[in-house]
Amino acid sequence: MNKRSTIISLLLLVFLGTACKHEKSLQAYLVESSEKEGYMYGDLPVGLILNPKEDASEEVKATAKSIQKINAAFFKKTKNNEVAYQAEIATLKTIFTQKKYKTLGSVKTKGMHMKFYYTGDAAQIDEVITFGHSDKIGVGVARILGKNMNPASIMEMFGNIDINMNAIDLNQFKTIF
Amino acid sequence: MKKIILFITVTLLPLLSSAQSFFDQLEDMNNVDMVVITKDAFEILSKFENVQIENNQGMQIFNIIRDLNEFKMFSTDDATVANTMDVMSKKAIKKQNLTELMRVKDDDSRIKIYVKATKNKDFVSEVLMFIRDIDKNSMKNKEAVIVSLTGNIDINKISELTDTLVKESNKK
Repeated sequence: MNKRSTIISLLLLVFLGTACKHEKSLQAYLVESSEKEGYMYGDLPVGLILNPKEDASEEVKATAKSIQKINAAFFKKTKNNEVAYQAEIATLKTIFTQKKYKTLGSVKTKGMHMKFYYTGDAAQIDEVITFGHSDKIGVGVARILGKNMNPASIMEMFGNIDINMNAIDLNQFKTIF
Repeated sequence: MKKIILFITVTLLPLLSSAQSFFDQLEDMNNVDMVVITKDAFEILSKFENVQIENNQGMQIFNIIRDLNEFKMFSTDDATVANTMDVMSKKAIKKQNLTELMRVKDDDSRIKIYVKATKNKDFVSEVLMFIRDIDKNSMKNKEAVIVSLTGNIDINKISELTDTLVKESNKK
């Protein structure tokens, strides 16, 4: 290889190397937590739960399809796990410093901190995420995952669907409450 | 030449930082409740055209949100923090060159509203509300709320909202 192509391929390598920075994504975090000790994890198959009515418009059906799943992970705070609790908060906070997570808002009241994020853009949302922690309760993150979700049509959709409560495996959530 | 450019940039930098950075310290303090809503959220909310909102206050707020950039609210029932908020507001008002829009005195509530004027008389680019409850005997701050709004804000709608807020705090 001549000198120029060596330089170019080296540059490409460097570029690719920095591009794949291996920043932990929320997806990776959620998958890990389903295995971790002390974690409660729930996964709702939205497709089974939201059933568009027979006479619903194509638009409503498409909107229902745009919501793919809802998952949540929750780490309960006990007397003995202060260090682990703070570590989880720190990990999650780091994940959310990534540019793709845009802030919607935050609420802090009586020791309960909540932050809301989304990915995608305002008219076509891919994920809506709630991240909360409280020294009395624990730390948790919940995520609605979809494909180009449109907020206005989602509101409209709720008026035109049946929610199949039987499909929700409530046992997963029993331990939290 | 480079030095001059650097110097100008460094001097201008503090001016570019938003008003809200004044109050960021409050976020980490204990005894402070906080709500922050960002521009993206307002953009998304303004797309909900068909939503009905129950209470009057909510409706008033909804009409204002369409052109908002950021909303921040900090509140405390701790007297020391209330005093800190008082000092912070005064600093912010001076630094941002805000002008007083309204003053309300209602029983033991004191409300002051400041704005940053724009070329259009009915609109302001920033609103800062400082509400405090005082102990009538000692005249000391008991509770305080700071509300900061940036965006393209219609001041007539703000004064309507204040009336509602005063009535709410008197109900407590």
